[in-house]
Amino acid sequence: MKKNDLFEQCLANVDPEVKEEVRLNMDIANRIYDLLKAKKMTQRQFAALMGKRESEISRWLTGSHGFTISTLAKIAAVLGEPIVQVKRQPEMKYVFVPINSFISPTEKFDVLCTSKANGNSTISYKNK
Amino acid sequence: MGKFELILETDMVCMFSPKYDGEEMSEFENFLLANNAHVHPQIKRSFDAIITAIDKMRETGACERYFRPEGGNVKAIPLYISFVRVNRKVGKLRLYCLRLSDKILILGGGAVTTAQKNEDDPVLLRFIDDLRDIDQRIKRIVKQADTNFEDFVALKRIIETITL
Repeated sequence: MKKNDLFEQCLANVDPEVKEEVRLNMDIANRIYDLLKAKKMTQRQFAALMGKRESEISRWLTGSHGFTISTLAKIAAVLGEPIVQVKRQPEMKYVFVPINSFISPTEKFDVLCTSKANGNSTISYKNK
Repeated sequence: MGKFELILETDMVCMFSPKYDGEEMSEFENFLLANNAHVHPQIKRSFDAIITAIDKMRETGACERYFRPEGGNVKAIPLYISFVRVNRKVGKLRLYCLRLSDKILILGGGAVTTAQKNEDDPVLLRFIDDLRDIDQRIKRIVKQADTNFEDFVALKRIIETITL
C-alpha cells in the first residue's frame, strides 16, 4: 500500500457534498454494471428493455449521469434488483419475559411515590 | 529525461506519474499544487470531484468505463458532479491520464481551460501529447518484451524501469 501526503491533504479538504455526490454516482454506475454482468445481459439488450439508445446506457455506466428517481425505479424493475436502498426503521421486536409470580389486583397494595426532584413517579406493589 | 514515480497503490490499482529530471515533483503532484487552493468555487468543485474519483478508483481499480477517451490509452477523468450553472469564462478543470489496465494508471498533468476543444489549448495539448508519446513508447516495449497489457507483473516492471 502506498499513499501520497499531498493527495491525502487534498482529499481531506474535499467538500463533503461533492465527495458524496461523486461516490454515489460511481456506486450507482458500478451497481448497474455488476447487475448486467450477473444477469449476462449486454448493454444493447438492456437498452432495448429500457427503451433507450445503447450510447445512453454506455454513458450511464461511466458514472457521470445524474439519474432521476423514476429512472432508478425503472432500472430496478427491469433488472429485478434494487439499485439504491434507503435504510428503513427496523421492525419492532418483542421480547417475552416470563413472570414467575403474579400479583392479582385484589392482592396488590399500591404505593405511589412522586419524586420532587425530577417529577418521575414510581408505583410499588406490595402484598397485603 | 525522467521516470515514473509510484504515487498511490492499493490491492486494486497502482497509480504512477511521470517525474522529469530537474523537477521536484511529478506531473500529478504539480497538478495538485497548482489547483488545490483555487479561489473560484466552480474550479474548486471540479478539483474536489477529480480527487474523489481518484480516491474511489483506489477501491475499485481503474475501470475503463470511468474515463473519457482522448485517443488510444490517453483518457480524461470526467467530473462526476452536476453544476447548477457553468460559467464558461471561468473554464473547466481537466486532468489527463494513461490507462494501461484496470490495475495500472499513469496520472498526467492538467489545467483549467476555457477552450472548447483540447486542440485549441496549447497547455492541455502539451499534457495530452506527452501522454501519447509515453503510450507509444510503452506499447513498443511491451511488444519487444513479448508480453501484454493484461500481465500486471510484467507491465509494472516495465513502468518501474522505463526511462522517459
